[in-house]
Amino acid sequence: MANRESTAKSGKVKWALALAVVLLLTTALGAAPETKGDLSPEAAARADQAHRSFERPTPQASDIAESVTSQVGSLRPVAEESAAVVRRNFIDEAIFSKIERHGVPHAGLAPDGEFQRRAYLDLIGRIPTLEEILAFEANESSDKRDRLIEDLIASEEFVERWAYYFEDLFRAGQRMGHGKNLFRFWVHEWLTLDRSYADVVTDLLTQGGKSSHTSPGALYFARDFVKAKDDPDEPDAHDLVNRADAIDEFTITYGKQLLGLNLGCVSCHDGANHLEQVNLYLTGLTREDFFRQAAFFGKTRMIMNWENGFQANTEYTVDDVEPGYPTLSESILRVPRTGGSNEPKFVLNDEPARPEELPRDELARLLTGHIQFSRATVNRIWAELMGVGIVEPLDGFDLVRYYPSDDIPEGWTVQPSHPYLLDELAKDFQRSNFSFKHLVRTIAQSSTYQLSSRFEGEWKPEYGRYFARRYVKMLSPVQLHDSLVTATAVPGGYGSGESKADMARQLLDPSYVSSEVGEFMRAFGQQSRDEFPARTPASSLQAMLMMNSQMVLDRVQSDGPGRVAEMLSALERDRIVAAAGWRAATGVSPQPSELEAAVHSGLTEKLYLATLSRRPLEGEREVALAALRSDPARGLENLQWALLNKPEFLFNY
Amino acid sequence: MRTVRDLAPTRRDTLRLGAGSLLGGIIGEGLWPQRARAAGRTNPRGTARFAIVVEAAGAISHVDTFDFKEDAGTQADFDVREVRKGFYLPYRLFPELSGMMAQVSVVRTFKSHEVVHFRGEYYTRAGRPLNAAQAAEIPPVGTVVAAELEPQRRESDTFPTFVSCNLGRNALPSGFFHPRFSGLDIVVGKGPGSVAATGEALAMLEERYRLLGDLEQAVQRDFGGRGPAMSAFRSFQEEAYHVLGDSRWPQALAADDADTKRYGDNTVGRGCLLARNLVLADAGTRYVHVKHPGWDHHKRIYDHSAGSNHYKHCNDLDRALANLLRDLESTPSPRDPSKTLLDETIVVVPTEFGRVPGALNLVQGRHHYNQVYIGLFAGGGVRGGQLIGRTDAAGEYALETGWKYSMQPKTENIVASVYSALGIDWLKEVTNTPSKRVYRYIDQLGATEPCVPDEIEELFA
Repeated sequence: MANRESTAKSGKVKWALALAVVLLLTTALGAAPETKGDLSPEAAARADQAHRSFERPTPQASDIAESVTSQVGSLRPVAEESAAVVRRNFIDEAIFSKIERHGVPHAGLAPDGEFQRRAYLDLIGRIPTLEEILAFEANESSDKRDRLIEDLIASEEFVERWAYYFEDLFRAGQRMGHGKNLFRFWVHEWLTLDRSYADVVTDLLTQGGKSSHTSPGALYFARDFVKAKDDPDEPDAHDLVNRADAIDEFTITYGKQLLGLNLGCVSCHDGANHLEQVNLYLTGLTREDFFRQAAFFGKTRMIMNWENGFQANTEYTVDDVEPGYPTLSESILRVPRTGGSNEPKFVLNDEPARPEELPRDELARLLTGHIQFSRATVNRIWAELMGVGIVEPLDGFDLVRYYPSDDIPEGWTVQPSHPYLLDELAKDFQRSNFSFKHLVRTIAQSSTYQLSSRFEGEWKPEYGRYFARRYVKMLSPVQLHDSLVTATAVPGGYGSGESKADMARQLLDPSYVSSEVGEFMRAFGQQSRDEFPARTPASSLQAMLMMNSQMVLDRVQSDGPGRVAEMLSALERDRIVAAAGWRAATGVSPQPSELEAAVHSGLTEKLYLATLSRRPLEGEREVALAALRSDPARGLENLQWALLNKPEFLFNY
Repeated sequence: MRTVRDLAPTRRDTLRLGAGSLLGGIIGEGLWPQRARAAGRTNPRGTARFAIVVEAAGAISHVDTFDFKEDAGTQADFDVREVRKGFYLPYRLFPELSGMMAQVSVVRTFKSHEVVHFRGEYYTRAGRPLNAAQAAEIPPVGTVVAAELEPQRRESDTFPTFVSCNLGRNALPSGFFHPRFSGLDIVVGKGPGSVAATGEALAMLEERYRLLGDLEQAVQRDFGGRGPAMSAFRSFQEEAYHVLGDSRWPQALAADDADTKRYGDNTVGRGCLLARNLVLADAGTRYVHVKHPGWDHHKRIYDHSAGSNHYKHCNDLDRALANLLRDLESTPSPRDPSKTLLDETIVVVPTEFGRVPGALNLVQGRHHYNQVYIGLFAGGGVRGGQLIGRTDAAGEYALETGWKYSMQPKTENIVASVYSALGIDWLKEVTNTPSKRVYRYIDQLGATEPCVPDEIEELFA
């Protein structure tokens, strides 16, 4: 009895050893694609590269033994980390003090793998590659999480991921015309340099000139153009702009994006007697307050450009020569304007513009200097990293119920979950001279960010407001696309020349890509940057596209360019390496069935790591082996498909 | 306030949909279950099981079509005929519908809040004027229908309740309603693409889906311990798989050559054909919205050489609509042999506003005009052959509104009539929206002036 048990155990060990060797070597050697007779230059280059990789000296038995020893450790299931969570910065002080005070249970720290996947998705917009996972696992330094955060923040991918985020936020779409190229370049530039975000916003509010050619900031205003009403006597009149409407739209836009305030309601009517059930702060504002806020752009106009004899209806010259905001002019978007003051006055503190200054310059000064600008910004980034904001909705701050000490009427509660923490974050942002990278780093380093999404025991919805575990949310369309690319090693290859994009985050405006990729991303919630942002939650159409669109089907093919094909072409080599590893570890040759199981386990493991950023559990391994047994090619295709369709692939947890 | 009705699904629905899809996504945000109430006395007719809305996007010129007025813009080759007593229609533009006006009723006195397209098209799809402050939570009409009719879904229903056609990125999201009520938008003319699988592709899908199921089952690691979002997605997969695996689905999406030729190989022809197929399949789809784009003829409206002109658009709509009505009429209802499918399907052609009557403008076109515009109605309890409302000789203003109210009817009333035909209380209100503003199925407030919150009873008389 005991004897049989020990045999079984040693069998398991042998099998695990061989598997570790396969994984190690195939990873180290890289892809070895099958070469075919008639090679394109590109294929020839790949073949050449593959050949060179085979010329590397074959590892000696002692090398293998050493590697096996180091790899076997990582095959053990990850131990659940239940150790007390360390408070790493002021975020943790605020979050865990409250959790403790209120006796709320919380999740433990996420294991390394879960943290790594999350950090990659949040910071650079894709899952980690197989190689990156193995390297992070092998890293034994105690500060490896902080180092990973630093490496990610310093990468070009970080800039691309967040440039896309800000292009979405500032809606850099067709309404920017050709200017969106310029806008994009500018966003990449300030993110790379980590320019003060207050200075960036100052650019957005104060730049003038020809928007699409020289002034990225001017595009922010110009994109909110509102076409004027048709005039039957002027055939081209519908190409003109209703200036006051454009200013209103823009005021609402920056109010939401930069201040977290929804001024849309008071752009039509006073807040009182309208918004008592909606937002108490807004009940104190009048339509005239809105006009006076809009009046910071009262002198500003946009003139449609002429290009090659045509009016370019998305390209404007922005200047400041008008007398002021016309509080009596006709509106085609909202109820008629009935007059009032048009003296610029900042809505948050009633501070007027100094008359000798250009009103837009005054707006930039007043806005970026106000704590609410910093609060709204850090809340937005917090929500992007943590899944949900300290204040929700992000553009619906209700400032008269911000602190517990505020005089809050019955039926209402304090709005922010952690008002003092949000203030602290805002002040920290100011102190760092509005450094975006500092903000991301501060949040990502906290234990709060690094909590597991897994919660032992009964979860109650009200724990969510405490950030007592990681908030699970679906990947954004760009994260999903780029993770598909990463998992399957099949790049997008969209466009050509310098604008060639392998990742969706490199696309200029995915909501207008007409091909399948555009359709796919729209179904997963890619907003049109030219229309009102709206939420697109999960739907069965998304499930349909994951199961049945070429975006996925082409990427799992064994005769395609991706990981499945690479793995198949390396199969013979895997067998040789696995057999060698087996012999080195045990002194005997494996049985064919043992060899097959070892090789297939290696494939399964690789596919799991590359796709789900984790190893298969024992039960999953068995199912996978059964799927690979009769026809490895078809089996691998199916397995890759199934892993991409596992809900966990689609979520940031 | 007559009754308070909770829209929470029954236990039976929960079982059929899988608890996951009900709990998924938005429950944590307090939007489900909805709290709803009736705000007045309505008596929905329930004369239709299906609704097909063919949106003439870009605005039809009323005086050149179903409110015909001879004016300086009238073309010599219109071949205007009296198709029914007192009803004149340019035969050149509508050769097929000219003979079918006994089935179709025309309302000629709609008045629009809107005069620009992006607002106008929104108005048609959402059934209310655009309110920028709330737009993110406002569902399209089809979503409301899908939510309302969900309790009627049968075990065998696999198709989405709401299907739209050609909306692309202009499709409105489901707003505060659960995402399963969002429409599935199909862009015609591109083949079934990702939304259908047949033959070997379907067999492969089945094999893979089994593997996915086995793998999911094998996971002892509890992803349920991470909140409901992931398990909810699993239920979307089940829904999707059931549609993809239903042989009726690719059949409904396939366009047979002879049919395509009959309906017309263009957006509205293919869209109407898809709508017909979905109704014939009777597999869960109840509301189909087909967009027919391109009616915005500011310039060269009657220039045959222009890629888009009034002749072409009228002819396309004529063929598509005539064949749709004919096919529905010639198919007996599977539920009630004494009825045809047209009896059970309300077909509506709305547009966002009219175009300037009288002489053409300087560039030989017609600009926007919102004092009067037309709408077509057939089937689903509508009595055909009626002309409702009368305009002046120039087609500029309404002389008789044509219904029991002195205020001209609006798009809101088209929507109320569709709700009524489908048996939906159009005065219902949802009170727990994210913005905390009450969502009224028919919003009386309007943009330029209020509207009468009623169906157009005269259509059904």
